[in-house]
Amino acid sequence: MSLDGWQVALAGLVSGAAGAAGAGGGDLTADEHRWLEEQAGSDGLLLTTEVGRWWRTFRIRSSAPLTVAALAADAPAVLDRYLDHHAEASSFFLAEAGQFLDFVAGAHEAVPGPPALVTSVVALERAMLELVEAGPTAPPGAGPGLGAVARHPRATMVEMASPPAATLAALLTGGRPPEPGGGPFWLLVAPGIAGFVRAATAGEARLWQSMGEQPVTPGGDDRTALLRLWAAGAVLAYADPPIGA
Amino acid sequence: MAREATAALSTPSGFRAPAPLGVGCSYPPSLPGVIDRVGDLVDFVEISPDMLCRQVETGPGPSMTFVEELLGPALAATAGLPTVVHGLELSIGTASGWNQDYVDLLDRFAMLRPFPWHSEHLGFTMVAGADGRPVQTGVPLPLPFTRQALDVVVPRAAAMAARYGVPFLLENAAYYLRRLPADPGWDEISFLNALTAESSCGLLLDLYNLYCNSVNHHFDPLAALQRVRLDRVVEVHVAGGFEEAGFRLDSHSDAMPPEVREMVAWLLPRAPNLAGLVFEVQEPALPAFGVDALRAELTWLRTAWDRR
Repeated sequence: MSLDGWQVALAGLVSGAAGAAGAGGGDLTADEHRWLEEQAGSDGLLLTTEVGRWWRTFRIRSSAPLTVAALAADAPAVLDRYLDHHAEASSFFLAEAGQFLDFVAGAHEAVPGPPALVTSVVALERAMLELVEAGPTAPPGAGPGLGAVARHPRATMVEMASPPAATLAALLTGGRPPEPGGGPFWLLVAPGIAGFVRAATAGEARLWQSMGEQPVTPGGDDRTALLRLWAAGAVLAYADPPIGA
Repeated sequence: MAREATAALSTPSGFRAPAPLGVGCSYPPSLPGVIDRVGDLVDFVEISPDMLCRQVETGPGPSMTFVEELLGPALAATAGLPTVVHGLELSIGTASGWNQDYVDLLDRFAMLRPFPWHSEHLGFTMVAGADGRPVQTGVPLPLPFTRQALDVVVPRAAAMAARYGVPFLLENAAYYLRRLPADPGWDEISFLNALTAESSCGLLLDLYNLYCNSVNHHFDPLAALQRVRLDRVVEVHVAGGFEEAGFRLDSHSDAMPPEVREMVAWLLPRAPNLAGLVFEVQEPALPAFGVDALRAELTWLRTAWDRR
């Protein structure tokens, strides 16, 4: 008997990997192959698989509650589709939730419902997960001088079509999010913010968008917004403007 | 795949029983205040360090690191109470190698909080993927009751005991798969007894798991319990759950059923080295179960412990 081969084949069966009953290579005995084939479709295997899927779903619901709430009645179907497409589980809450958010972000055509809300909330939770995963960061030092600045690689500006506070409160409490209107509204996710997220001003959003991926030298009109972004840990400062900036 | 432990993988010199602690409960990381609310009923707390950490990519592969927002409250909430460790992620039964990341994590936890014993689940939670990297199974899976599986676990159990200088326990698993492979004449109980006979390993006997298996695989739980080598039982877990699709689930989500209370009553005066009796409720179920119900179960256990 190959214990390794048996374990690989059993793990494949539980995760639903195709052809798992035949996995494990030629090390398995005929009895072992027969046992694995007996398990396929058995009530015991179905329950074992279901328990695993329940835990994965629990981890996602715990770590990406806003996205699950934004998906609303479609959440169970989207979760099922995710579990079917991503057989490899993670015991870690953030890792499983991150994979799920990437799946939802990349599968909008398959996700019915209000895509603008789902898109915004996925971006918000993905950015916050990245900050949680990255761990604590040092607070910003003295404010930036007159040189160039760039976005912090783990900071994000999320656009929302409805008032963020009311929208997120509705999602967290099972209420109906407000209809889009009156916006756009902006949420800043950055490592220097307590709880990692706060509302952003239109000026901050404008400066953020002007920065793009490359360092820029803000104009004097952007000074207030720049200082606010700096205090949030959302920007990195350069001592001198980069060549060509 | 994970590196093997650096501690000597040899058959250990012998089992050492720890001093008794009494009645305990699991630490729920998302509800640290629960410990304060049952503090008058427990003598110790059981912590799973892997529930206080996150996974990070470190180049060669993922590793586990503590989350300060979880670790700090855990140490604070359990300060002043003896703490034992109950791991989830060692995967001691994986043929291709255990999870060294968990061992490294436990090394760091041991520096922060000494423990009089530590335990793990008997089974496997990962396998080697096609590229050699570990693939998590998503749910603990049982070992076959075979000499080959025993030969994988025995030296590792010895290594885990030697590494921290305190007793190491393995917990019997609940499983739903029918007719697990077994060597001729072996079953779950004979496998557990062989494990303790051949190693310094103690048993964390989960009576609810044993009860689930008895319901799901049709045997008498008390008769099975009477076959267990009781001098190696160091810790007992008790819990309750529910039935679904014809199975008793090891959901650890409810009060003990009468059958488990009977098993506790039978076992307590007969396990000479029993050092801890823990009511276990899964963290997701705790809000619905409630602290009052938890206190009621702990009170029952206290009475049983004091009478033993």
